[in-house]
Amino acid sequence: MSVESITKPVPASALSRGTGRARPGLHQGRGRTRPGSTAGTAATPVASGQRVRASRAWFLGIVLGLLGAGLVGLLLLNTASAQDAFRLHDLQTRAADLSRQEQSLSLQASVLADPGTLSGRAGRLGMVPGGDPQFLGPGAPLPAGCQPTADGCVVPAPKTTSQPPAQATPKPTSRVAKTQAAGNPAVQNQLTARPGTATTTTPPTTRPTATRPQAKTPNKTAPKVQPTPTRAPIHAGTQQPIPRQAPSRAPTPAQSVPAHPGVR
Amino acid sequence: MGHARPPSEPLPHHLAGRGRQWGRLGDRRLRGVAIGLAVLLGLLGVRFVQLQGLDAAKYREQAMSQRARTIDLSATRGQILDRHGVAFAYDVDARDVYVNPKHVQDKVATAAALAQVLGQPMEVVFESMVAPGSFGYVARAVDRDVADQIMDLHLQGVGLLPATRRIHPGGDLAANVIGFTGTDGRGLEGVEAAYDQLLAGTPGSLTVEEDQAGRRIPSGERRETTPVAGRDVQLTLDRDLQWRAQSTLARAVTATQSRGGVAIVMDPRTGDLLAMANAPAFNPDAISKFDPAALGNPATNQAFEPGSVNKVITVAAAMEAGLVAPDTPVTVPPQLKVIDRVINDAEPHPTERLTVAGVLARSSNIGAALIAQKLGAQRLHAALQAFGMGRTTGLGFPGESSGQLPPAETWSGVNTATIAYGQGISATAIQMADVYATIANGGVHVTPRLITGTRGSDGAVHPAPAGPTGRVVSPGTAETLTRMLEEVTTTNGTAPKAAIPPYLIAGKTGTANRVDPRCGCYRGYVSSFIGFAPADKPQLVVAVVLDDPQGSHFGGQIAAPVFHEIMSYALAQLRIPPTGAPPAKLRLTP
Repeated sequence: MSVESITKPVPASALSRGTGRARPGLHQGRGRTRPGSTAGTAATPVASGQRVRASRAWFLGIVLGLLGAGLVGLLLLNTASAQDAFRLHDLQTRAADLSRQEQSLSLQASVLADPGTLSGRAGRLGMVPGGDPQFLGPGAPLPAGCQPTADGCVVPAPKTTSQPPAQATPKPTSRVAKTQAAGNPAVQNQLTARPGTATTTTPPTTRPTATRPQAKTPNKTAPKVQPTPTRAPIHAGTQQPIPRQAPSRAPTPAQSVPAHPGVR
Repeated sequence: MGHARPPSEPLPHHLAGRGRQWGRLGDRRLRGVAIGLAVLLGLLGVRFVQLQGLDAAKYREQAMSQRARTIDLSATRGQILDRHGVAFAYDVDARDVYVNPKHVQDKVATAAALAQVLGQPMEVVFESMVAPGSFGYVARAVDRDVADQIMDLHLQGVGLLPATRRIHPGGDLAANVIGFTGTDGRGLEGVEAAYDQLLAGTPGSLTVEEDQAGRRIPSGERRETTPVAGRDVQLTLDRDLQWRAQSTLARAVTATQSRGGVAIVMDPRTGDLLAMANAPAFNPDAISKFDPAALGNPATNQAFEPGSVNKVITVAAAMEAGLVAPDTPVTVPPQLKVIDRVINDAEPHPTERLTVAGVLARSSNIGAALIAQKLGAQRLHAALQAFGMGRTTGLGFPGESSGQLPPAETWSGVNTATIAYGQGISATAIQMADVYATIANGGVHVTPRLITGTRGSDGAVHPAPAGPTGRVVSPGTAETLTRMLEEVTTTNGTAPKAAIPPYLIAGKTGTANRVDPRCGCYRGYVSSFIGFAPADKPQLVVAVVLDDPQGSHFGGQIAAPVFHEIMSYALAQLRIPPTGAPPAKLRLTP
């Protein structure tokens, strides 16, 4: 029999097959015999036994290695998925934080944009509601002291600075002309000219446009904090706040701006 | 080697000696063991089938319930927006603060610490600490920042639960229309109640597997039913206009020491309510501080005797019947005796001759009664009904009142005369605004509406269905009526204060005796002004009602200036130019 055949693992069923006689292997070390080998006569060489032992260790190593690798692999897999869970948690926390930040900012913004808040702030700046609009027909002369700008015209406030607060609707002092005809395009470009107002029907801008003809003469009764007369509302919601007092030092760019197209 | 040999087979020779005895005895034993084993195995098998087959689902469930946790995912409640998409009300994250009184060591110290952070009186907080049971709310829907502060205190027995808070950036802005929600987040009043189903959405849930320490098992099961967010409801209100109407009205109510007031801005062409202001308003964030009776919407829910604003219906009906024209003369005596009642005008005067236009412009009760007598109860009743008296407007507002219009059969001669000038029937402010909107719209009634549509989280907009429209009076009558109403705002009429030159303003004052519900008698007044502009191309209707003003009570004196301020702002804000048409200049005296 060849060495090869000995080292081959023998199926357990093969071992148990055969007769009830004592197995030769029991007497001859741990060497295994093939079924059908002559009983008692098979003297396995010592060298062969060592090889068997070595190959067994090798087999055990493979199995243990596989087991170990599997275990490590499983651990890595678990760690990876746990890592994802951590990442998910972190991102969720971040998302929650950001959405919270967004919520509080949008709340702040909406409170600031609230018409009531705006009106209160405008009032503190010395602004009063614009009152009834005035209308200029085509070709009508500009109100006295009006400084035309690209999108409006500012009429100086009356000399009296003790203007009543917001509720009072001042009587128009500079009404220029009535609209000539219905559907006239000029009507669309209405100029509203209230005492001390700066309002037009064009979309509100925050560009300072107001000038005060008597700009050089300092107004003694003017409040210390001079609001910049901006084109009416900061927000459409305000009641077209207007400066109670135009600033004594007027911004200059307005002078160079061409007249309102609707005026001429 | 464990092969059981058939007993008949001879044993190997070295066992044969005692085999005989053993065989017999062993056989029996073997059999016994085998049977025992078989029974055992059988029992195990039965148990196996029972566990893995019959009761499997139950045990799986039990196991799952030990490590699974279901979290309710609340659906975000929809926003309530104005016509431009600005939010009147929306939800933000918040926290409910709860306490387990059994776990609180030092109740006084805990209550003190909580009270300081929450800004509540300590007694209130302490009360929840000593309450029986193991759970009680200390505060509902508190701000996240406040919740963080509470977390930082590390108080034993105090915990937080996720919640949402309804935010109203405008405070009391349109509060009477929007209404409010309860602590459970369901709408209780106003639009919040009327559209609760749409706004609420459908809550979802999330089931995850957790270990004992509450950490999620990464490979565990995860079932999620996504919550469906509520739909946003977009109103026809214009936030800025609403604010202007509300603030102007509030000032007027304070100045006239009225009980309350209503201001309505409406587009007669579409029926859109651009503003619906009430005074006094309430703050929806602190409803507990207000009288529950004040939390409704008087504009739609409170009926009053309309008074002179009702005269347009009388005149419209008479004109439709072909009985009068604007220049038909009416002789108005100083007093008019109808059966047992004497009807007076607001101010005493000698017998005067007016035209029908003059009756409206000067608001003569006697003149209106005389016209109604010509018309008869049946036809006046039919006209009132056609203009929407006695039934709700179709707005669909919760708690909307239909007013009162007694059937014509029950009217006595006195009723016909008084109803002609608006006493003896009742209507809400929205009903009266609707009457003028019909005239402004050329005699065609458009159902007023408050909702433009709803919007889902996907941005899809469902426009609200338009209400029915129908002709009430002929275009000719509507136009003539409008020209007559223009005279009211001239210096010859009762409300020159309503004029906004160079616009043509049509309108009517109302100064009605107020029914005091406590005595069921007339006490005080209801002053009103309802008008529209530009009169020859109406785009806006504004109705102002002041309830029980002290001092001057004439609609032309106190309601007309409010109308003026709201209307002039609305015209400028909506960029409505004057038409430039000449004023009507009708003859008020023959």
